[in-house]
Amino acid sequence: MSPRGFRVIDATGTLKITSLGAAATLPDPVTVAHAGTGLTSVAKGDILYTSADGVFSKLAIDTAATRILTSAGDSTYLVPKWEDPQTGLGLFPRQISRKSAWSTADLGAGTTTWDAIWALTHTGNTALVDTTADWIRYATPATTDTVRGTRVNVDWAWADHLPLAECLIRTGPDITALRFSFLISNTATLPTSADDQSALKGFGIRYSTVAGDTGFTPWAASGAVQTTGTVIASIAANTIYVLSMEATSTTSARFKVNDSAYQTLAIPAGALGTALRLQLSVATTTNSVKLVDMAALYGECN
Amino acid sequence: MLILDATTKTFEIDMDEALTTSQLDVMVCYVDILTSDQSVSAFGNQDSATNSTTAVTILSAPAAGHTRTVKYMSVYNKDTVDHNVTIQLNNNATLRIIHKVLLLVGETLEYVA
Repeated sequence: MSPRGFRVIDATGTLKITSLGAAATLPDPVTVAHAGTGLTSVAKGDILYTSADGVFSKLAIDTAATRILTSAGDSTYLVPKWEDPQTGLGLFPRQISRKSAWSTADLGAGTTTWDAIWALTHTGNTALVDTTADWIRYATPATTDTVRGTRVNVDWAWADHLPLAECLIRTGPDITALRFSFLISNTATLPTSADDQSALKGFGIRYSTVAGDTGFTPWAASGAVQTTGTVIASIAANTIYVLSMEATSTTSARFKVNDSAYQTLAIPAGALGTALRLQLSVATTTNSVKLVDMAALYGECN
Repeated sequence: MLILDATTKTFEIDMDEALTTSQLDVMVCYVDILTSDQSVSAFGNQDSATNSTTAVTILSAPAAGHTRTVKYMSVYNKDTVDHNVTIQLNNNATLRIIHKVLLLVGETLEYVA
């Protein structure tokens, strides 16, 4: 139905929008300034968003089964992007940099209720609160080869269950003459202050000044043989890091520090079929105090 | 709906500028209604042209006892320059502006009831 009232038809026969004293051509496509989108087409599933002031753009649908919408389309976080929640965001929806609370729930197939909260044993720990986080500080005495840290004091998972663990830590003011360990292994105690952990079964991340590590280094052990990878990321004193390790299959584990690329190591067969636990520790290799602060610890498995 | 409901009311067109080459063409189509019973008494159209900056009646007043309703109006700028066009009501010499627009060369101002 033709619009009623006054209107202006331009010399080409196109309807124009009129206002008192001026006439403005209705562009094709209709721009944002004229309450349009400036787009000539949209496809099923497209999402409209503003890519710049006054500019509409289209984000095509990601046809994979499960995707979530984030703002990580560019480094300014002003552009939407479809992400795979399993890989694009790490361990969605939890945040390793903040405390998480879990309620106990029946996670098993039977009637047994499993505790979803870590059953940790802390050694050499003190509470520390600063503007960054609530920390647990693990500090050794000033005695060579003493170890302090925290460990899950019950069997947690097998490597076959594809466990994943992350921790948020802060290195101490002095990272000389020490060994740091973040392990998924079968030890029921904290690991010894030794570079050779071949007697353990599992995998983890270490920093050992004695071994000459220049940064965080992954390793895996079968109970007889230990394999060490290359440095994932450098390490500095008084610095916060997120360490991540994960068994991606029964034959492979991957490791990363902060936003580094993953490094992969083989999981030896000897590490399979064995109950593993989680350990985080610092050991001094000289007669001086060494410490590490932990703000968060996260784990998941099948 | 544009309506003339008295013998003293007309619709006019005026321009802010004198022509350059040609006056603008105007046509108005209307229906007359007998006021007493609202029956249609006439259909008609009135064509005219602008007269530069002098107002021109484009629709005359209805006869007594009748109401004249504009069904369609067109003003075509066939001059070679743009013109500011005013459509106005002349109510017994009192002018009321209804619509004012800059009509570019080749453009048509239309009114559709």
